[in-house]
Amino acid sequence: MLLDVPSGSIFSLDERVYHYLQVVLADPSMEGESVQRLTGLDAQTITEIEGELEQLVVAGCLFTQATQPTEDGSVLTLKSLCLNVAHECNFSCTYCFAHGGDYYGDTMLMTREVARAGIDFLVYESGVHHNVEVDFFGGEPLMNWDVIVDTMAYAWSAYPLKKWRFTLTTNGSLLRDDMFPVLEANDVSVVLSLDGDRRANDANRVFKDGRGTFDAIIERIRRFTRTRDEGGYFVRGTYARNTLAFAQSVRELHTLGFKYISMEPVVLSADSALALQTSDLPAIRAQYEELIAYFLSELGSGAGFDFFHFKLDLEAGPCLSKRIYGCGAGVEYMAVAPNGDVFPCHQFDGVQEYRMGNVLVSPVLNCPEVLAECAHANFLFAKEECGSCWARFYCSGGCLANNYATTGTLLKPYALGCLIQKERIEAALVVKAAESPEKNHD
Amino acid sequence: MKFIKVVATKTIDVDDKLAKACRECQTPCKSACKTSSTVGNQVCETRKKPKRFIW
Repeated sequence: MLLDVPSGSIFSLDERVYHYLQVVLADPSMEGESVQRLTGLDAQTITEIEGELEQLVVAGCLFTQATQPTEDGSVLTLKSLCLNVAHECNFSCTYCFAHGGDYYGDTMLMTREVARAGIDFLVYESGVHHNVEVDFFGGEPLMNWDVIVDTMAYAWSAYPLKKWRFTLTTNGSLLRDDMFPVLEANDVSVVLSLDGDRRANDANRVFKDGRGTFDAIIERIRRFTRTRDEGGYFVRGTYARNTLAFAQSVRELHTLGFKYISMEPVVLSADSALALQTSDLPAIRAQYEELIAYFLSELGSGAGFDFFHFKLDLEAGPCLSKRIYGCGAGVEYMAVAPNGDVFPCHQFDGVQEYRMGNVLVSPVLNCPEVLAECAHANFLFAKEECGSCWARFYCSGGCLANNYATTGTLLKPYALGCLIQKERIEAALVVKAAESPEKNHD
Repeated sequence: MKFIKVVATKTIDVDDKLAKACRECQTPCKSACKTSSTVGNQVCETRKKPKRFIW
């Protein structure tokens, strides 16, 4: 694969071109017989390769000038809000960043008043934005279903000119059939947590008493996903050090009947037994290779499925302005805790150093220094490691919460996360190359 | 081409798209407890309406 980073042009190379580029990029002054000797290619082949490369350069697709946009935090306004409606969960997953759902505090459910105040806050701050996003999160958000229903009804009725887009992240255990039409009527996209079959899932996703959760949730999740054959859900798994064979887990999820699947690397402090380590990278790479083979094989047989991280839209991807700012945490995206406290994102919930205000107080935001810090940290080129990374326009700078948790600062990327991210993007590009028909460079 | 397969060209159109930046598209939360979305998984919603979006 060859990626021209500034233009986003992508090429799949014959092995001979790969060797040629390896040689000449290592020493651009090299020419003639030296190139022939080191590549093992004859003069005619080298001439043809150079001719093809030259065509791409002339077309502005290869060796294009790197862009260095300037930082302008004023373009960032709030448009996405995570309502952490439940600081409580009926599961006690071993890798949970939220300490089993209580976020290292008292269990608490969000009231209607706080949730509605969150909607008011989002609308006020979003200004002229038409599209606004709300994610119901926890703990287990379905423990507070009535507030979820009330919040969506309030949003539509109080602010009908906004385009509301709701998501729900759930462990699926409390899903009931009577919820399905409500989720459909409100066009709620649903993320369902399930790590694979019983073996993979129950390794880490357990009830408070340690029992595995697979048997309690599988039929509920299946019943719901059968109502969404055309999409609108992702079954999302997590892989950790004890469930590293995630290609097998994806295969299991597909075999269980799910068509929209995602699989995420766990993020834990390095001293945790379940944390991924740098030494796991070869195994992770092998898993992506296995997953690519399975994905393409199923696609070819007509039994294809969506794997979230392979969904790169090369025809209608986001603009450069979007690509040079990150997840928006603390500026475009914020989270509200059950007591109304506002944080840069759901993973910062409870981190008092990053408390930005409270939706029950006017004005809501009272911490301009956190806002300014987050705006700066969202800028891709504010992070030294990101500015020269080949994956920068696909990643846009990593997860600020992971950065903070692993390095103590928003501006220093979580190194292992970067390496895994690059494996993932590379895998996605390989899939795109395999799916793609030959195109004319014009 | 004989040696190079062109998969996609100029998928990042600096001059055109930067001027149109409306930021109406989905916010890409990268947290693993959602779907660790990245901008690579996004679409420009002024050019292509997504059927659904997922964090």
